[in-house]
Amino acid sequence: MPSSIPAPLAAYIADCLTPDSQTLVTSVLSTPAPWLCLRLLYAGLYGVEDSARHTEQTGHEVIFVSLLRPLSLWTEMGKKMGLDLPSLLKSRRVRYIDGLAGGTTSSTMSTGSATAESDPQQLPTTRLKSMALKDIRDALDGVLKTPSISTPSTGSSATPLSSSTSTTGSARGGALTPRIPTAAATRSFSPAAGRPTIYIDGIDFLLASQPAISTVELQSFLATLRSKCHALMLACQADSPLLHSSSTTSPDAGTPLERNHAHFITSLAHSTRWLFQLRGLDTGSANDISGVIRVSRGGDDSIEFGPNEGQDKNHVQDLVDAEWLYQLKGDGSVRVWARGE
Amino acid sequence: MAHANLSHRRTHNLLLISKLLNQRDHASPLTLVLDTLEQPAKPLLREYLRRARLSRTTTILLAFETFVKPRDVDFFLECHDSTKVLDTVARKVSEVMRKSGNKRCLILIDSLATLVSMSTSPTSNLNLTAFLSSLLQPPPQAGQAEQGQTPQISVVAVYHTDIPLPAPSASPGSAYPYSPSPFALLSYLATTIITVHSLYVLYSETLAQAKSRVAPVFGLGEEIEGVVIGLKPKGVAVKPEEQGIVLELEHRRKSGRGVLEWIFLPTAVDRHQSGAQAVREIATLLDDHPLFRKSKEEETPEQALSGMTFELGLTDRQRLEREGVVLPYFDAQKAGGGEGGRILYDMGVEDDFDEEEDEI
Repeated sequence: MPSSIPAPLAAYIADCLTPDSQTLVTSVLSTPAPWLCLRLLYAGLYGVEDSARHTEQTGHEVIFVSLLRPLSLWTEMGKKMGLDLPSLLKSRRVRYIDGLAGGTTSSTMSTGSATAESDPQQLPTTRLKSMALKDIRDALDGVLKTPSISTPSTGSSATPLSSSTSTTGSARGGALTPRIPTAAATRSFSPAAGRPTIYIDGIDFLLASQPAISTVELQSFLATLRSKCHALMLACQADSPLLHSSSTTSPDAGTPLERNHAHFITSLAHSTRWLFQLRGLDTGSANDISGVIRVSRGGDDSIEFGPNEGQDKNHVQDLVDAEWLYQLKGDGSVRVWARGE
Repeated sequence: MAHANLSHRRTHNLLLISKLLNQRDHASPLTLVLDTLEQPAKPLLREYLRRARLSRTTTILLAFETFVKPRDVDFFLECHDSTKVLDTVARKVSEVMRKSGNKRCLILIDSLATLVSMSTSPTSNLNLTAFLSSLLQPPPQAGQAEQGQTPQISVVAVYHTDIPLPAPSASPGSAYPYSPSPFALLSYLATTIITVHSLYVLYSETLAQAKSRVAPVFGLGEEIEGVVIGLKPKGVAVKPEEQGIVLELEHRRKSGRGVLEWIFLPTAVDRHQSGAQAVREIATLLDDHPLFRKSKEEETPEQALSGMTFELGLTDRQRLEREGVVLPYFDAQKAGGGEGGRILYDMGVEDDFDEEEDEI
């Protein structure tokens, strides 16, 4: 059964959704990462298929912070893989903090879903006052504080909503739609799953655009965020000038941006459980290959280090670092395969 | 030469690593653990915690990048919000130590990266040396002053060597242009430095060396765009009990002498064992690991000289005959050797005795 989440990646993505974990997606200019971010998002909402272990853990609400890319892009890409962002936004299962709509002071948390029927401009999103760290922290704290959808009234309203998701999904892309209503129907919002999953796309852009933010401040912001949420997923750039220049030459070389970015990425990698690294082919470009994806274990092995080692050990042992090729197709699907397959 | 005194190293250096990991006799007050993304130091920390539990040492983890309390930690201090950490953490640590009342205490720092980058920024006003010594020597407390004993505190701090220093926030160089880099400072302060290596990386380096090839690099060292962590080779087949990490140990003795050793620490140990099994030393020398063990033939001189066009060795018969040769003066020593510096010489026929010439 074709799934929107590629089969080789499913086990890794499922492991990214364990509590208190952090996932880092790095990409380079030629291989952007939105397709993977959306699949992580999808897994956070509906769980990964063929994994009974995580079915009870799904149903987390998602806070999605996009600092570099517009909502229209996410909506369009999401539609192709069966992720109906507008209706998810309306049902407040996904809450979106828009980093591109800054400048306007109006923070619209328009709760009336009746007003936003089909116009994507009126979807309930949160706008940032500015890209300053304080404003982002305020916006996230505001979203974290607002009551989630676990009240019974909205819970009942989620059922017709998921059916509407399925109708739009079946209109678009055949085989992967049947699992959406089933996942939504079997899901129950348990109070234990209260903490949301947070996705931040382009967090490294803050370092570049806001010289006043030091790496230490940004890291402690992310660390406090991580202690408040279920799982934290970050997407960053790992292009060569941003990663290598400061590590090879003398310690005083490199521009502040290069040094800070390299410091930031490597520090994040040390506290991350799984690292998804996207890059182009080493041998140049090819028509039928979009790029290479490598999944590596980061510095945080809290499963083994942590208290719940006994039960998860068998599961984690068989997940080893691996590398595949992937191809994004025109219909939004993605094929992931090992070299030589 | 290294192979010749292998048994000597096996005895002494294994005792040393066991002493260090168990923190026996206050062997190393400040241990610096250097790691990279290729091999994080978490397995080593886990081993420290396991042994501390066995020896009933109080453990305190200053968690800069750990979010889940590890199993064997007694006190878990979250240091995530670095802005608040500095003024409170030393106080908290001494509080915790007073609460535990234990004389032996092990403080683990899971990442120095935050502290180091704060120490380079002029605004944060953090002195790394002062901070570490405040951990090692807490202000004397009333109860202990009466008893006249100080707690035995060891600090194990992890430093990620692949994290570059961030750019100073103020104008560059204005902070402390003459002060050494934090890493240099730390390596001077430390009494023991343990560098953690990945077994697979080391093994592929050895393989390359055996074929006189350039050793492969992994991860950030590869300098491939988009690669943060290297892909370890899959072909290496080792048994589960032979999997582990490699420690490059540098211990500075009180006498000033340094001890260098490569140690292999297995990680796939059944941690739920107890009693004598748990106390038994599991670390071995790297040279005793099956992947790195040098075969005996390689080391013997016969093997080293095998490529020559002429024979340097001896056959058994030649050796026997050589041993049978009686060298001159052996019997002379038997006869009158104990009588001091007398010259023993038997005049031959060709000798012409001349009193004037020989009387010196």
